[in-house]
Amino acid sequence: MEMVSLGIPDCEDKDVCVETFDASSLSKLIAYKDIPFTNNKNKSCDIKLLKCGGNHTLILLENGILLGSGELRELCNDFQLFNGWCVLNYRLQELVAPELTNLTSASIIDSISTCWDSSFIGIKFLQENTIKIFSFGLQFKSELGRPSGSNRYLIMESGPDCESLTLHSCLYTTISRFQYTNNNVSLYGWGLNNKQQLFRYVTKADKIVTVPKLLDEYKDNAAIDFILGKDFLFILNYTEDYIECLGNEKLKASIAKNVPSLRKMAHITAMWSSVHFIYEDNRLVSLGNGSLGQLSLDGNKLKPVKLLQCGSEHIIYSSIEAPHIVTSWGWGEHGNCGSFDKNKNENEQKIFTSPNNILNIQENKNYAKISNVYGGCATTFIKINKAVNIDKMSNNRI
Amino acid sequence: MSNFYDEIEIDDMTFDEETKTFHYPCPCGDRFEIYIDDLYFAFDDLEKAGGELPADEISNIATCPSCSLQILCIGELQDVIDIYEKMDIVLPA
Repeated sequence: MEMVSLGIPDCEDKDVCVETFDASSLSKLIAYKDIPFTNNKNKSCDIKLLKCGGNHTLILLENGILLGSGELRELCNDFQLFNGWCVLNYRLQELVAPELTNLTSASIIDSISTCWDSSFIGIKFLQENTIKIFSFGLQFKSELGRPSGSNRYLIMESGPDCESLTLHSCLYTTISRFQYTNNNVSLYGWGLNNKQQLFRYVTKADKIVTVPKLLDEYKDNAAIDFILGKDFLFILNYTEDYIECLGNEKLKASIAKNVPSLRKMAHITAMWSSVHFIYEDNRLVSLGNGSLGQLSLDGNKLKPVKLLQCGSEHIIYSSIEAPHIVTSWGWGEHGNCGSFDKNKNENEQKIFTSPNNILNIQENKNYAKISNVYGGCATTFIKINKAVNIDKMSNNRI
Repeated sequence: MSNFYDEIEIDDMTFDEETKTFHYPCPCGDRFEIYIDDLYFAFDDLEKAGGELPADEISNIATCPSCSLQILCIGELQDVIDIYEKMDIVLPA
């Protein structure tokens, strides 16, 4: 199986960083082009979101340009800018235009998400102040969110006065969070509900949620967030200092026992099968599946966190004290946690039980700052600022 | 500690009619796979053994062609027979 999700034109695992995308060259290429679903006011080519599916990756830029690499299914097109990366906006317009009543309405791609073999794109319509979600790709467990027999890409639309959309997917399940100008929040979910991660099911048919279903609404309470894993969903209600745990029973019990309050929480992130809480005092509490070293630092105090994100089964971390270094631990079989130090005892599955250096930008005079990290399926992406330009690098497999 | 990355019910796996395999996403980006006949014989052995086999004789295991991880497939022999019937595939001799 060819793995091309890194946008790098070869199929070997990488355990050292390789440049895959240069946003500065993109800004020159698109300077005078009228690209659909982009923002006329914000021309920034900075990376807003990066999401990884099983075998594809999407990058959304601040200006609304959407790029993709890997198995993009019907979004795939010939508008290739770099090796492996193509602009998806034109193809997106072709596909969704028949479903839009007002094509002239100003609109911008606002949010993205990726299931295993599918993609979700949220488009904000600026005049109407609404956001529509479209789905593309293949489905195995109704994860596209389309009613049976429907070929429409549009799967749902917010109400009026919608301020923002957060989309997140894991494996076959997706959650959308709409936030309105009156501070109301609504959460919808669809796809696989096999462990009751979306809601408690009554019949076997509820294990698959074919169209977006309203999970909950929060009136005048925008302090709502969520964490989604392979078989769990945690709804974080910061106002009421409450975590609603759905799905994986073992994890629910662990949370109840080990995570008393959201008030002292600085950061929460999840892999497919584990969840990681960083307290304000930098103490890390890791719960869930630890068979691949994912929980190795549970109970430790980390150096103050600058960046912390999860891939499928690994953590990527950079500290405030050493902001020029990116480290990782957990499952690194494909090079996604970097290479094994020669002094360490390498194991077959390349399980890293302590932070392993992936990148030190002080070793490259062209790099000025590490500005973000992203994790995918045994993939790690690092966003680096040069003196004036922005690059993104990746390590691991394609 | 289990040697398996996870235990997955075959109901949650996807059956590919063309290749006649059950598959499930692997965190490496590829898929765990097991051929239907292999799963049939694995569950058959398990059933004949009264539901328990020594670790080295368990074969209801889906493997990933791209990494070292494996999952244990959970289900009953009848679940697999139902797939043969539904897909109109001949049961192995």
